[in-house]
Amino acid sequence: MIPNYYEFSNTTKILSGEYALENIPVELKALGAKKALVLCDETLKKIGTMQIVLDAFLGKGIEIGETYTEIPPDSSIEVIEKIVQIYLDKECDSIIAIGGGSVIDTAKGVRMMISQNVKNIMELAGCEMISYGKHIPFVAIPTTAGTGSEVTLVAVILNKCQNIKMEFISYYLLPDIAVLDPRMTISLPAKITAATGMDALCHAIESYTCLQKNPLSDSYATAAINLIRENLIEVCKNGNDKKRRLAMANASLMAGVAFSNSMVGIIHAIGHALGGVSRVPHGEAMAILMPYCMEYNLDKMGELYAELLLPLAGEEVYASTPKAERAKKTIETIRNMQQELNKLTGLPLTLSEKQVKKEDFEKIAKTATNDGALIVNPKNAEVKDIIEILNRAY
Amino acid sequence: MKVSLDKKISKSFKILVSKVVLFFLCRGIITLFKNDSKIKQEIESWEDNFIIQITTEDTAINWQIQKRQGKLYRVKESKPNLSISFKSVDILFKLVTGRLGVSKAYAEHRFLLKGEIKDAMSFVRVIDRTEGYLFPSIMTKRILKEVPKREKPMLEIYGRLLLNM
Ligand SMILES: [Zn+2]
Repeated sequence: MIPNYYEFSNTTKILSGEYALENIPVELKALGAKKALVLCDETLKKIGTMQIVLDAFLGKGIEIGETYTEIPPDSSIEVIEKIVQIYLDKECDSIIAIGGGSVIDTAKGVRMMISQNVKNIMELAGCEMISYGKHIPFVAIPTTAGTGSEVTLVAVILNKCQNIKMEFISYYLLPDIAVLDPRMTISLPAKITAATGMDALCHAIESYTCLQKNPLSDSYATAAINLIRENLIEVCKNGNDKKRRLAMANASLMAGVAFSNSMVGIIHAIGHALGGVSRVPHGEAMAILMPYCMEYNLDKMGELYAELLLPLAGEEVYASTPKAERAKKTIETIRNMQQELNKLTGLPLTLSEKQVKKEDFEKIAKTATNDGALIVNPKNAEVKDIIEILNRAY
Repeated sequence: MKVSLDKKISKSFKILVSKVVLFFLCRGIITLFKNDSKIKQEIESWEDNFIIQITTEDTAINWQIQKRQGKLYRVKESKPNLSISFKSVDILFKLVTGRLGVSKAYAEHRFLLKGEIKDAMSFVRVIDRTEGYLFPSIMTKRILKEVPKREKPMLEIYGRLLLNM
């Protein structure tokens, strides 16, 4: 069904596949860049992933102004301000982010501050309120297949003083170029592959079922789920399979496009709070919460969950499941995936495994009710409902 | 090409109705702050001197409410901490006439939001709940995710609202 009104935008150019990295300098030159600031993290520097990207610049006429690798797992305001200063001191004119969600979100924050010319990033907090600003060419190279941050309009940045994750939402946060190169995810450990893959699945499911859903985001979401069904478990068995690595990178990107345009719901609202209060890694929180939150939503969203059985379980299972049972079968299929990933990689199944304290449930639930993701969840949730979900997932 | 007279009249009408309903919304929130435990709890969580604004990108509508020393006041021309600016008055009109909920308006990208999303979430809960008192449930059933259970009858709230004016 066509919604009464919707908006959709994905302006990011995608380079996917063999030697994708080697094409970045040409793209940057076309965008008018000469000197790039490279952002990455210590682990990726240590294992040589960053070097592969730097090598791709050999003799291509783009100078690397500086590399900055001290980015923590949660992108924070302090780190962003420090990097802005480096960018200005080194007279860079473009940004390349190599990493997972935190590096890419940090890069979005840095770019936003420079392009909007502000001293305090909090001035830009909000939704769709910033204008285009000065254009800073920006290349995002994801090294996990899950966050989809390379194609989303959101930056999640930790405000350490208040210990909350701030959301900045604007179409002008979208990178110019997203690069999917199988060399970037090949060394990802199985457990992180599983967790980030479940995050991508969660993006696709929530974007397909939340209030902002639209025909374009739906098609990206279902395409992503098909790829996840075909590749996630297999790539956890054999991480060296480049084709499957690339397929999962594409799945994550497609789910990213989907949720960038239709947002995510209650699973992410609680997941963000679990990350902020109890430091549960995002992908693991998504994997643990997904079936419980879907059960909570079932009475309102059953029909849409039923439709997702087709991409999630394949046509045989879909056709042999009676219509009335398909929604529950979708949740059951996710539970089966979780069990298998748990056996293969040790992906946690409960909050107690992550040492979440029950006495923190009230705080987590209160934080979740103030998360923007909850507004597009079609079913209302109050503090008591969220505590109930947390108890079930414990 | 000039804007047609029809559009001008229709826009003026929508501005007028929006201003009237926003006036009652403000009175409603102030009244419910004293008479509904959930709205009270919500507003108590706002910082002192916090100012919220509702405006539109295409009109001079400037609705502002401030929490000051534990009370709520209608204010003018101050610097809001949270601003919801509808891209057009046509949408604000739909909202104030009970044909569109805030969540759906957000989902449809109908407004710009300046400020922290956590504050917006709290304000949206207050608006939703206030609408639950001011609009009949036949209306709120269509626009709210869940029709709130009123702690006091709708007529009593309207009575207090009018008495306090
Ligand atoms: Zn996510």
